[in-house]
Amino acid sequence: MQKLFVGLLAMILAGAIWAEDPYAGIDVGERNVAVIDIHLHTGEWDKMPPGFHERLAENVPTGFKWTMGPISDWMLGTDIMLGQLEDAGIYGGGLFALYSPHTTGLAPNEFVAERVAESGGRLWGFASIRWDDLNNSDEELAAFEQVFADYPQMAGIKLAHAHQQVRLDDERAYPVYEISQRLGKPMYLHTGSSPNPGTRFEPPYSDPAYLEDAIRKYPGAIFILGHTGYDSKGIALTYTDSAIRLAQQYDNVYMEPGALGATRAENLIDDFVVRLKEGNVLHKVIYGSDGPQFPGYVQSHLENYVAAMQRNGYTADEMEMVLSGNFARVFGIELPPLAGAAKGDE
Amino acid sequence: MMTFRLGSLLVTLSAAALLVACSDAPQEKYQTVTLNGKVRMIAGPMPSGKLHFRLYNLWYLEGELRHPLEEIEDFESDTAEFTHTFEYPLHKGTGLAVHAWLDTDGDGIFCTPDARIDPAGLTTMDETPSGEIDITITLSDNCRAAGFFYPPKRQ
Repeated sequence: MQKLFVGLLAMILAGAIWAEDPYAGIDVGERNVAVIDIHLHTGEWDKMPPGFHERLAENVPTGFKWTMGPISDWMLGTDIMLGQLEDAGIYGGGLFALYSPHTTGLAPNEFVAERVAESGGRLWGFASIRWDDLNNSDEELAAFEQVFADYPQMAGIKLAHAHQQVRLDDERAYPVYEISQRLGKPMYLHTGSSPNPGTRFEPPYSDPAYLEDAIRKYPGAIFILGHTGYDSKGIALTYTDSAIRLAQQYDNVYMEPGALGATRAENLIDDFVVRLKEGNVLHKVIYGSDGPQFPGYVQSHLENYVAAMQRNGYTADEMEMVLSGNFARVFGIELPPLAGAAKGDE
Repeated sequence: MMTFRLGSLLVTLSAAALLVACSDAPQEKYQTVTLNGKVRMIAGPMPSGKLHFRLYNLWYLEGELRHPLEEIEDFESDTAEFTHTFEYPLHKGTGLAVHAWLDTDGDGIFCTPDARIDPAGLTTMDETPSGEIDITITLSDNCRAAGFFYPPKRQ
């Protein structure tokens, strides 16, 4: 009851703020463009395994590590997330469900659907499926498909083979791709590595080339290659060219640059945006950050990414495609006109 | 007066925090285990190549987070018969699984999208291992990770 009251109050407040201050986008030089961040996480401290707790608390002084639970839950709440987006000039984002008990824990579909419902249309849900008993997955698959009937606001599917300990070439995952194709729900698939403990980082879990057979078999399913093969454990663009090749070769392959705008990747970001531009695949790039992580992260990630695009000769049209246009096209979402845009621009 | 109260409050809170932190600290507990193992092919002679092994707790955690196959460590062997000693993490779960794959083509990668000739297998035990144990791993399927074999399909 209390949660409902707080949620309603937050929605009313958020609605009031947005009603008074319509979305204006961000300035990319020549003009303002809208931004969508496809890659946001939610969750609860109690649904994270001990190894992930340790990682989140590794820089917290002994004696105060207990504060990480409340802080984490607060950070991952809908109001705070929307505030982070608003501060960054981001219209909305994709919110991922998660079933990764080996690594980062659980953010169940129903939990994500609730968060999406209280976001006032600013968050789009991505449903996921538990994969740690893949030989007996009939019930999981049926429940997974039912999620889209129960929660029409679920816009896509989130899979993380490396977190879920499933090889990218494992055909036992194909029924999920078939559902994606049949229901018209694009899939976001984690590629590359991750610094989170327990994440598999060998090529069969990281290199998107291992998905090629599935990409061919399900041409009606959209495969968005998360992190574009970025090896964030080794801090290298190890599988980026592999992702770009697939995006060049297959109509149903897209890419997302999550975590490439982080400070950790500051020496890679220029090389990364240049590879995408020179590969003529900017119409296949959907912006995401992998936030919220910590206060200010989604904003700094966006600023770093836009600055890199500007340094490397992206036009305003190209930046708009990457930052929101491709997302809107792939997900069939119409974004509102930007506040202050000249009539001729609308 | 106010400063004193605030100071006392901070000290009390810090002491409480320390107590909570100490009592919450996970207790790590290990047990030395020696594996005396043998690897064989499901059919035919064993091809040459390096054998790669990964050890797991068969099950880890409780409740919603309970899951199979929590990694312990990796090791390698140049021969089909091997001995390996390791510290089994008692605090991390129960049972033992040992996965093996044979690098038949010598590329160091457990199958690529085009080269798919590295056979693999898994052996498991439900009970928590201790002391010396004998195991046999049968390589039966190419390019298959541990999760392909366990948990097995229910009848």
